Amino acid sequence: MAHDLLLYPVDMSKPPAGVPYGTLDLMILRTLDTMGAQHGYGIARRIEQVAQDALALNQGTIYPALLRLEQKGWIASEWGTSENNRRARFYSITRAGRKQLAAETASWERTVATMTRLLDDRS
Amino acid sequence: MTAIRVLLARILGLFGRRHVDTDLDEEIRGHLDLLTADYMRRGLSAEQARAAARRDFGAVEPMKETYRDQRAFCWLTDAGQDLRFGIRQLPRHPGFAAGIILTLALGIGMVTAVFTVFNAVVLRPLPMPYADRLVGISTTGRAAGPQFVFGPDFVEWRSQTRVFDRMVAYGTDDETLLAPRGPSRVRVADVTEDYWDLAGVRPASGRVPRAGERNEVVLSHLAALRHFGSDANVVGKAVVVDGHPMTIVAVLPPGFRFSLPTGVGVIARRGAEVEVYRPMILSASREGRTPLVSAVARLRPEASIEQGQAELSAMRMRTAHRQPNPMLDDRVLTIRPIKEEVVGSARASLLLMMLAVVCVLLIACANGTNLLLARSTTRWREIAIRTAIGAGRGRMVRQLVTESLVLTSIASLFGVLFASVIVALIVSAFEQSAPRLAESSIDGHVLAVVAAITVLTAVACSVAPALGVRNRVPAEALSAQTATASPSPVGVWTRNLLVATECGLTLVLLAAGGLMLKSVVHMRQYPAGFEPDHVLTMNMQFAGAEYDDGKRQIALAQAVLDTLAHRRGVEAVSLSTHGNLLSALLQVENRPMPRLEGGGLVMVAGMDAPILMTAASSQLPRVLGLHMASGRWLRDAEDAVVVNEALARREFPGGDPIGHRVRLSLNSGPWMTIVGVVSDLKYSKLDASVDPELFFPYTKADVLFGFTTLVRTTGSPDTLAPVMRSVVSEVDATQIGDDVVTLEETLGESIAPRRLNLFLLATFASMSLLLAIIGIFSVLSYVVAQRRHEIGVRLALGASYRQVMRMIVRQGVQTIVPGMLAGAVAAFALRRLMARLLYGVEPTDLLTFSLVTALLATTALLACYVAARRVLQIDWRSALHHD
Repeated sequence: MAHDLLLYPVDMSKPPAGVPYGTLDLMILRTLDTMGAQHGYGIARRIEQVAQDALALNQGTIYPALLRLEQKGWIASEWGTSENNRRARFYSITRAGRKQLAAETASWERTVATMTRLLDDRS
Repeated sequence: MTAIRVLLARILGLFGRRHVDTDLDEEIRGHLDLLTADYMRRGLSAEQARAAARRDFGAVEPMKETYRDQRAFCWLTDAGQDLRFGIRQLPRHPGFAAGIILTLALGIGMVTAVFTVFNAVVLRPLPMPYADRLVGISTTGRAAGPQFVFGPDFVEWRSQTRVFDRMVAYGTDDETLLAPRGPSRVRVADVTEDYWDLAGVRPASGRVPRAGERNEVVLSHLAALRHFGSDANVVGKAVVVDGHPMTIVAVLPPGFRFSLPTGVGVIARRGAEVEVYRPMILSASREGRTPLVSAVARLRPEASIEQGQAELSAMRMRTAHRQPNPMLDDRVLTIRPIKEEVVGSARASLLLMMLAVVCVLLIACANGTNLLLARSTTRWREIAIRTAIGAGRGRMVRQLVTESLVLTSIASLFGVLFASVIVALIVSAFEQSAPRLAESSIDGHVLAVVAAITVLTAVACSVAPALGVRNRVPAEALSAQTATASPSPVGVWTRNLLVATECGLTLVLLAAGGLMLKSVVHMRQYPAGFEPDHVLTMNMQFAGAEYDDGKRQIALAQAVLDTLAHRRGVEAVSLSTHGNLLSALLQVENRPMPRLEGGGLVMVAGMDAPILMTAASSQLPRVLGLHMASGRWLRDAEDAVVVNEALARREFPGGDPIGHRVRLSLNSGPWMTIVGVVSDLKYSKLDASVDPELFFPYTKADVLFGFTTLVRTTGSPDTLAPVMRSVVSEVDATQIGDDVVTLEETLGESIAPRRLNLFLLATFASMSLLLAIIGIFSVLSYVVAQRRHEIGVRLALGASYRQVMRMIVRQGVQTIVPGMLAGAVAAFALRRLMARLLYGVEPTDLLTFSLVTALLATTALLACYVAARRVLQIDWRSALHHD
């Protein structure tokens, strides 16, 4: 997943989102993998729920991420009807997306393990 | 694959923008509505819920901007970032940057220089309008050499052709011009009236000669400056060309050159530009002497060469029916684009030079890659961390390529500067080596090629480091244990492969250069007695009507010889008409002769192995150091001739020519006895076998078309050069001797193309040797640095420094030897290609191969040794600690 850390100006009442896009992509993929097809709002809600407010996420930031994931072919989208009878775009994970999810998860787990080891060593 | 998908999606994203925006707006509105509904469910009022929803969502416009950037091409911003980062990095590692810039500048510079020459000589179209439709017509039937057609044929074709829209007949010659500033020799071009249209030039002042005018001439810009001081007010002035008064009717604009292919027939002045253009008037009559002319034509836009060939052949057949002429009718008509004739054989050898110089560039790239690899391994930690936190492999690779592009671009700038110096050098020293060489300049085409090479080089140099990026595991980056790089085996293997390749390529270039050198040296090995650097030659061609008489010509020649013989510094003087008269046959007494029409010497261009009939004086052996194989040389006034060994082999195989009688002209003239056979001597061309030649006393000639005076000097030839010219003026002030050069220079020019090749190959070979040595040295130094720990261990366990050094050197040798072997095999495989460049030397010459191999091996070993000495600087205790 190629991109830089990118922070853009946000509403000052909330602290800036402390989430690198790499992780956001991962979270979106995980959400879609677990929950099946979802629209943008559903994904954002789910992420907030799981993170339990440890993460301050501007929900709008999902959309560029969703676009990116779709360009890479890891998710696919379809227009449908949301729960309040509006036209909404629903996203679902693809097979390539599932493979990417597995790879990224493994990579994260390795990093976490190393960090843990490192911190243990230091103490 | 993913990258391609993204790329495609982004390209598609450039279209259908408005649709996208409304879609996104709809999604955003839907999202906000759901959020608002949620908040309302929690008990907030409608406005409060809306506000809270907007807060949760975050700023919409910035997000939409990011979204739009994502859809379309935003790699431009990324590239800009990479570029700035790359440029900032440079001053931090000046040594590395300088090293890579220098290496690449050398490689790119050499390629640019050679390509500039190649472009000027081979690629550039001729400077005439519709140059691709210009063809040369000839009936000489020979592939090379002067191409002629017969005057009356030309007139007939021109009046009847439908395939060609212009036909021009022309010829060039050196003649005497009498202008206000005095007499001089100039190159004159005789051209029919369509020439000006064909060449696409209009006079700067005046008008071109009208059809039918014989006594009007056009001057080139340089000629006007040279003979009149300025190009103004020249039109209307009178001059005398070859004894005939003419009026100047036009002066051409500066920069215009006569660019039609000229045959090399009689002894002509080297490298002269055409200064005077005279009208050529041809008659359709086939009686009497039919002149030979060169012919060029322009095809109509829809026409092809085949159609032209068919039309002209048909016309010739009709003529042959009407007026058969057995000598002419069998000749084959050939039509060829004139570019081929002008470029000639230069294309083949220059292509080979391009190949060789690309090898040099490859070696420079290999060194560049090595340097970049070394850099990337010291940066691998930074790269690994950036990859881990999300920069991604693709981005890192883009960054590496951008950085190497920055370095390569700077190297290109220096390279172009370097190339301009080399090109200037080549043009000044080797102008005669190839047609149009003097026009070499670094123009738009060359720069475009340089830009392409820059990009390719940058990409090539970053391939290996980029491949290294994917192998980095983030975990190792964070470990503090490895202070220096722990290189993946791929990195080391790559570097060894690069060094081996460098050695191989260098060996090939060294072999080529060595063989070329041997070939040129071999050609310049003169037999005993032949000292061309002490022989001055001067060309003389008769001017004026009074010298149309053979007797007067001979008298003049005699006077010049006699006067010169008594000057100081002259050891011996003679004359020769070598190259002026050729004959297809030798008439030997008591031998049957084929029946031919007419008498006189048959001077027909188009013979495969003509016999040179050379008028000479009795002193020629003294001047040239000729050796007699048998018999004796000529005396000045006898009816005797001398043949050379080549002629003896051809006409008297296995027998003795002495005593036989021959005739100089077919079926006319006295019988002359062969009194001697002279050993073959290459005294006009070094790289061709000796032509069969017959020498006769000049006093017995019917007519001399011109002659060369040869003087053997006792001391340095420089003092005698002006004397030779002044002697001619003393004898007859209306005549001019010209082109006073040593025979050494003439011989050198005969192999001028080879000398250029030698210069280029020698430069390539030495440059590649230098680069290869640097490459070997840097790789081995790196190996020493990287194996510090291991070396420390060995030293601690009791190994001596010497043993460790030997180990390092052995590692170097293990890389170099396979490379050299591969190079030797490649050089052997390319032997046929190399044979084209050589003369008199086999492309598999063992001595040369051994010498260059020894050279490369010695220098490479030296480099290994010096690099291995770095081991001495290692203190094993700290090496063990530091690891």
